[in-house]
Amino acid sequence: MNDMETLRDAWAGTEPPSPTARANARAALLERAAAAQSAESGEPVPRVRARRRDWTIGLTAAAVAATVITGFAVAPSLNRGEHFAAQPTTAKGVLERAAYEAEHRPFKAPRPNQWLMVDTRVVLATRWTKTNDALPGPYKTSDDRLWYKVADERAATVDPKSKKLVDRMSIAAYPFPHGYANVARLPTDPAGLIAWWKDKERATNGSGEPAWELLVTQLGMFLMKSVPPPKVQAAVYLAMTRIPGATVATGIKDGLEGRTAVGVGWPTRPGVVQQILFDSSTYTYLGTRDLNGPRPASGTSGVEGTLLSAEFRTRAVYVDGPGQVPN
Amino acid sequence: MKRILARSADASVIERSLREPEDFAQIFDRYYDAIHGYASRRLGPTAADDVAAETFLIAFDRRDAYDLSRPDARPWLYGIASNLIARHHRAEARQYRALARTGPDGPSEGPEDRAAARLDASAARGPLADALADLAGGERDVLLLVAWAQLSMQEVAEALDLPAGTVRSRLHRARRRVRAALPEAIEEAV
Repeated sequence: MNDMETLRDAWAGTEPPSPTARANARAALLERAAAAQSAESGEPVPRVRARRRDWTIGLTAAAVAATVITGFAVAPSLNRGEHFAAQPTTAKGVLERAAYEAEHRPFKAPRPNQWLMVDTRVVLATRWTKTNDALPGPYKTSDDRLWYKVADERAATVDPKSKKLVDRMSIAAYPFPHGYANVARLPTDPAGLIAWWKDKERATNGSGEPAWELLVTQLGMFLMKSVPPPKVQAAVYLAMTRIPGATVATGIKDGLEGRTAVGVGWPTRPGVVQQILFDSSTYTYLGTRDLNGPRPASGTSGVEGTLLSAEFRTRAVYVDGPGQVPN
Repeated sequence: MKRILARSADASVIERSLREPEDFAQIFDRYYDAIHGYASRRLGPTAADDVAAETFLIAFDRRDAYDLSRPDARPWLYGIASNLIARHHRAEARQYRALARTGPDGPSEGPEDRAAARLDASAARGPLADALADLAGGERDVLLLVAWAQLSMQEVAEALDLPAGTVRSRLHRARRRVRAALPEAIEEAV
């Protein structure tokens, strides 16, 4: 046996990938393919129930505001106007209010050597129809914890088997970064942010107009994995007002442990709506959820409004290193 | 011949996926397990999940730049995976160091009834892991693409976008280091 054979045999018998990892990876690829198809044809994306890649942090249930950052106040760039007087009832009104609140909420930028610890509760439907529509309950709930480095795009998590800290790639929001240093460099005007995104998409997916559905999905991931500085956060919400087809849902309580959310949603695939959730009183970002949307004309079953999956942020706090969990 | 025909279909599938993006799933179905296995050997199964998934997303995004004169997509995919793995170089080195410490009686993912050769290889795993940890990243990529991904040197050159001479010299240096690390009985059999 020569050195190459020894090397091969010494690492023989590596475990095959888990069916879940394989299914998630395939779904992510099909989701990307569907978005590309949609961008090219200008038609709705093909029917794919793309479960999110599980390293992306999740969807659903609990809630809780992030304890992140306190500190400097940012000069307001929006007028309170009508949005501050009453509960906004339109998607545009909700997003503008969220932008306003983001800009006025106390915020302290992290130090470059810190990491952002994000806890997320993930809820997934467990029963599906033959046409890949979710059926209501029971739901599988799990908690996810990741640390994102401030200075770059490194991320870490605790391996569930070994209980050891391991590097974790975290690129699901691509082209949007998650490390604060890069997040803080994003354009702070909504038009500039959208233009930046389109440039990035064209650079990787070729020419043509990127699909709005892709932006909705990526921003959902981006918000879940980062706590942008006020002006970037506001730019994100205001950029969302430019995404066509938004709807608003109020009085959302399921999975939010006593909180009430208002959600702004867009169709991301035929028959599926993704909502970005905000606390209905503070307009703090709470998470993302996918629901059965309006039923397409044919070929589907399931009931509109049934939860497919959700990722609720339960905690977000800066710590001094990966693995550190503050009390 | 069968292998050549199968491989020759890769370029056709990729070309077709430019018009029908979902067809790219065929490339995923063919190679996901192999790419995952390669990443798992280098980084462990958890990181391999991410690397393998991202490899196919990046490949999909870049499929319009694929050289359709190359029928076999494996070098291209392994090249993407290698670049992703490189971002984890610290984790990779830590994994090898940990394996080196566990030695032949440490964790093993192989079947219980190993042949004698496997026993030899198992015994060599610790020293080999130590040697792998010490290799320069470029040398390790070349060595493991040949040993674990079973690419030819020409395919490694394509995968890493390196001149063939550079691949040869890196492989030569890496093998010399690995041989030096092997237990005596195995080294004698080289």
